Amino acid sequence: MEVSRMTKDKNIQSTCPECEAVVQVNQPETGEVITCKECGADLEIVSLQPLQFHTAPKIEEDWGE
Amino acid sequence: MIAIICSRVRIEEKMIFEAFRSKHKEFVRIDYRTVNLGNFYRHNTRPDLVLNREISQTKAELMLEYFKELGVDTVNSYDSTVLCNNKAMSSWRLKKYSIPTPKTSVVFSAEQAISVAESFGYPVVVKPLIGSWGRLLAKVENRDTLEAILEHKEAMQQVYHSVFYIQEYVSKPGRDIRVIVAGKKPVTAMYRQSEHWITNTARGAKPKPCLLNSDIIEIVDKTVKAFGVEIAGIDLVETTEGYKVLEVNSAVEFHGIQTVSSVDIAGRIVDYLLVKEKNLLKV
Repeated sequence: MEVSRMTKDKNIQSTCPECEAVVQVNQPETGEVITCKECGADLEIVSLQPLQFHTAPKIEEDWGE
Repeated sequence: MIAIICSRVRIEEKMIFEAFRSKHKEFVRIDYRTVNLGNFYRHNTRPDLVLNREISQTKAELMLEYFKELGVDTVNSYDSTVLCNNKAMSSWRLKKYSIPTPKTSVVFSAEQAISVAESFGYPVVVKPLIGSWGRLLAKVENRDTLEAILEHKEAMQQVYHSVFYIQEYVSKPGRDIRVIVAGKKPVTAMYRQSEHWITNTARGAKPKPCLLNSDIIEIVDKTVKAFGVEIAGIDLVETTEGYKVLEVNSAVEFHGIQTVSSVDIAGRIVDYLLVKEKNLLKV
């Protein structure tokens, strides 16, 4: 397991896998979900270097606090 | 080293990560999707302390149980987390410790559920045993509606939906209260205001500041002891008979309350963890 470190870039960008719009993220973390402003898709950050998105998994019944 | 169990990173997790980094403290993340839990069998790879921030309650419970078997302390403990996640177990624990809570019954057949509802008097609330964010709650006004809901739940053919959790309906004054516990003590609170009877912020309730008065502190302290939680969100309702506990959330979300509270909640959580880790390492 690696110690968690923040990427040195605070604002970085990548492409939405749904609509190919450029999506910028502030202080991204892997596992974070952001919304593409162009198509509204929920995107999960799966990689920081390079920044990469996958379509976010759907909410499951046992999710919560 | 402190490890944080989390797959989905919400605003709260980002706040906690930032709190660690601002204090120049490192941590590791455990994501159930990529981790091989077997790797922790070797002592030199084990974390000193684990914080649970996993959004999937099932995955969280399994990982907490695993660390419990390894002898690694977790916050919250496996036992507390399972208790919080199951509404029936929570209600039974509250009753056992004589902590005020709405009248509740857990039954295993539609006939029993109808009988309970009629003894409570309508309206009643039907809740799933497991679930969060105010989902799948039903305020039932009469027998016809109750019968329909019970039929639908039975048709889902899922184990937890065939156990019926029936609660008396408690009229709220347009709000309920969420108290944040960090380090076994209440640190801040908010009202969740809504015209709707479901007052989760996930369902649109608005956070408003709430002072921690002595009655709130007293009932929260009793609940913390009864549940064994160290970090939690405890939901209260104001009634003509005083405060009553609705539920205890073990992996509490707090970005809503943070907008109306001057307390650095993530900072308090991390401070608590760092002290706990230090004490564990002294032993």
